[in-house]
Amino acid sequence: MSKRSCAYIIPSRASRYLLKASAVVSFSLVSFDLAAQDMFTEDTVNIAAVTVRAAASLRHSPYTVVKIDSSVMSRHDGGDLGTLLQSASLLTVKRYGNSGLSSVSIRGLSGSHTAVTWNGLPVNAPSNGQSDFAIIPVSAANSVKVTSGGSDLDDISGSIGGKVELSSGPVFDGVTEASLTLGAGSNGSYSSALVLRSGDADLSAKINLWGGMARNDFRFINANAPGGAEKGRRTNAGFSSGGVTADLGFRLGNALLTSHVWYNDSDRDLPGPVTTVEQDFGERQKDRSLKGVVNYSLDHGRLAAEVVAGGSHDINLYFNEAPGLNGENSSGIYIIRTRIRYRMNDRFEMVFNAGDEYQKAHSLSFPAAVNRNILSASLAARYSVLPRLRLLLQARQMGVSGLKVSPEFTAGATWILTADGQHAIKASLSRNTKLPCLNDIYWMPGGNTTLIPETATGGEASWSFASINPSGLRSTLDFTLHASRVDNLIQWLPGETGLWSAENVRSVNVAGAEVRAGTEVAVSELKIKGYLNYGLTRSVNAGSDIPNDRSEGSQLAYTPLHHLNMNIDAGWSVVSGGITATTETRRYTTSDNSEWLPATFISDLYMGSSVRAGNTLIRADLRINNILNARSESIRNYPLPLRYFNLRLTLTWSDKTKNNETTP
Amino acid sequence: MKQLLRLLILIALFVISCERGDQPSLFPSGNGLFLLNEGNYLAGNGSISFYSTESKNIYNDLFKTANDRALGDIPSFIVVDGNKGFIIVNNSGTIEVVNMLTMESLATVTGLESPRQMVIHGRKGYISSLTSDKVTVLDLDNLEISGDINIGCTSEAMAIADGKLFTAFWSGGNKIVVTDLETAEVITSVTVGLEPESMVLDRDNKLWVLCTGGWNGEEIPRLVKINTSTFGKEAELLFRTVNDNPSSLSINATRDTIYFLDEGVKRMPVISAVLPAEAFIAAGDRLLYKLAAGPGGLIGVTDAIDYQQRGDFLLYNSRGELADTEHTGIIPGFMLFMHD
Repeated sequence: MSKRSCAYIIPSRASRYLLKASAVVSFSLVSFDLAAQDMFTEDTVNIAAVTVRAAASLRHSPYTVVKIDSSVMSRHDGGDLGTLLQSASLLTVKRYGNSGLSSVSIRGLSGSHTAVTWNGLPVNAPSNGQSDFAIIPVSAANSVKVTSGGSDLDDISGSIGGKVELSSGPVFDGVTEASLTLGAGSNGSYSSALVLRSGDADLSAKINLWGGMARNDFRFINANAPGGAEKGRRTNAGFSSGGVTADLGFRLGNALLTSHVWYNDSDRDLPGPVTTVEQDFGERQKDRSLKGVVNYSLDHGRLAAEVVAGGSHDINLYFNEAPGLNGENSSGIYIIRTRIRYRMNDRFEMVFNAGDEYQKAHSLSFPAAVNRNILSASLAARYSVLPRLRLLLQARQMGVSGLKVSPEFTAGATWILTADGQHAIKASLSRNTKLPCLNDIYWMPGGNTTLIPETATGGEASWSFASINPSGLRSTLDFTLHASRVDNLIQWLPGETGLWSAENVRSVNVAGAEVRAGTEVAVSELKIKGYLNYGLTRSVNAGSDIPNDRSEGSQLAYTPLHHLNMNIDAGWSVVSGGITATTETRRYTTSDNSEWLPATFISDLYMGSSVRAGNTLIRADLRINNILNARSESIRNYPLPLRYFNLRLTLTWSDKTKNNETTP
Repeated sequence: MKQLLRLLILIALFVISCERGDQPSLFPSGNGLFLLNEGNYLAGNGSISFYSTESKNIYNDLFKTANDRALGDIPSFIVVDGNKGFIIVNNSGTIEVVNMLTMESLATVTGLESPRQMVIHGRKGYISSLTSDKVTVLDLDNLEISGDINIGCTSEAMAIADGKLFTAFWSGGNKIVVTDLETAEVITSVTVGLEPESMVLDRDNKLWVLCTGGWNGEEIPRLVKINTSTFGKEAELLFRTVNDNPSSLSINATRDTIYFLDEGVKRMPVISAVLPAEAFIAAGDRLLYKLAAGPGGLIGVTDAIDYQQRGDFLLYNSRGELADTEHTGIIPGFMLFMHD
């Protein structure tokens, strides 16, 4: 017996090959992650893809990670993140009217299943687990990355829908620049932004201030007006917001130190559904948040290390004409985490992540201030079994006060099929969890301390194509199939006592196909970019513990079966323009699919021009939103605006003249 | 040519007459009940259904079908005056006045603060409010608000006996306010249990008030019997524990037996001095939401399932046997029996 064991420990040469081959097959059948680090460069194709810049590190990830193209981001500068993601990614946004509370859905799961981070700091409110994308300005970040599914185990805690990463990394280009933007538009909207940045080869400093307000009394069509559909104007929907971000970066040899601060303040009226005659009950919501992150990283070739520490404090105030209904909620998240990567050789590296996240929340509906601590560690192994075949195996274990959490894992493989890097296939499998939010556990009444984490098990397989033609034509095409099952989904249900409580009651099956295509072509001074995203998402209730539930097999509410968006930008000399179109098929509003919102098609047009005078660039942009004047709702009876306009004027002074300023 | 013209005119008249006269009715006349489906809060997808006890069929979404628009947000109550129905749409802040035979909207009353229920006395309707201390008075002839009565608290269930309006202070309250409708002045109030949720008048004009004991189980629920002449409490029947959650007090057509939800359907003769120990109809795997007692011992109850899908209407006969089950709209709630 012992001899036989020894034979496994010291295998023969033939056995070693056999084991190796078995391992390859095994790893190929499961899946992998190579997201953060390129281990090969010969096939790197760094071109624009789908609304996404397909940097090799993202393309080599065995699961889907996309980065929103910077030109698309700049076109949405001054807007909110929800609008950007709706029109430039496969996320769907659920929005309580224009500027109303917005949550996103990735692959059919809800906003609380989508993790949002800013420079590595979790942004989701620990109380309800969601982020309000209407009050996250695009200008708070210079990079937006979206991971579909919960395969990324690098963070302290995870999600099962996906992740949206915002970052405002340093730029060491030695440019000193000041930019002032003033905007005005329909429905009494005004905006302003001031960006100052400076630095040298080792220092980067940037401060960004913005503010905006709108009466938001937009025109809409009220299909449920007495006497039939009629045009109306939204009332009691005004909002104002402002904020500041400050980013500092120091490069000290192999070390990089960055710090980021973000203060955000918004004030919104809360209109009712249009079927409510009285719209103004004095309901208002104020959200204030202060976030700060410090990041120190060190790269010594084989060994790299990173430490991130940060915290956020959020205050949410609710006002009602009946003072007894006023509410005050606050929450905070504080994290510290470290990441150590050790590259053993050119083919194998290991990454260790560990961190602690402390969450606290206070609400009138909690018995007292509540808190919890999440401690986690993950270990990833990345192995290039063949020159163009990389494997990833990663596992994470969370320790959460008051909860038992099973280990999570991700396994994946990326195989670059051709030496020129044009074709790649990749696949991944993962099992991950999402913790109940603090409201689910502690809300009075109905909070349930016996809840267990929601779990997701699934995988995806992709084929990826990217090419650069000598003529300058750049093209990408990605096709992905995904499937997963979510168990122990938490839902609030009424009990026999008449009180609602949170329960682990449902299971959901998600399956779908995604296509992302992009192209860039330059002919003389004319540059054209086109991006297309299509998602087919079948996200159905697979079973529940609710008696007499007839929703089994039904599409989850507010998840469109088809989502398609397209962005086309063109720039020639000093002028640029573009069009964005987004369409979604019907979104069911009830769990048994008995009611739905109709399909929508929204298209926006923008055009701009710039003039340089010495070191100053003057740019004017006009945006026409919803050019076809289409009626649409994201939430039933919370209409979105008919056609409206925005005009922006930007003055940028720079101590260096750059090329291609006029390109979108 | 003239003949052709005449023929065309005849065809046109025939087509027009067909369009007008042959319009099929949305629901049958006869005995049955109207059922209000509350819809999801803020979604504005409330609806009204009719269940025919004769054909044993349910007819859903009548208002939208008849008027090509949604009924509104949380229709909570309906009361009938002749052929007119007054549907209280709570969170829309409206009353839809409809033709009870066709469900066509006759008027939409606005200017109301969170209306909840309505009772009729003479040619006036009295409307309770979840957020206002005033009971709004509606002129039933011109369908305009003609005034209000300040009762000093918010209100829910209402009943009229001997020209006096009995109004339940439900949300956080514990009293029944009595108003003389002749003078529109508050006469007195009767302290009952916490959160009087529903009430009915029996055959002797005694007012039965079901108090839930508070949404968070602050006190033991109770059923209180009030003399509407002396305003004295004639009985106060306590349930078992603070965890009990009785609701939806209803009375049959002959007003001699009351019904309520309490771990199933319980029934009790109005002459009884004790609460029933056993359920007349067990809840089984149902999560019962609302109840209405009808003629001939019929009992209608609703099950909202997960409150996000079409619910169920269940009809029981006088022996407590399930007679029919039908799918309703979203969150089936208040029911009103219509009978000869």
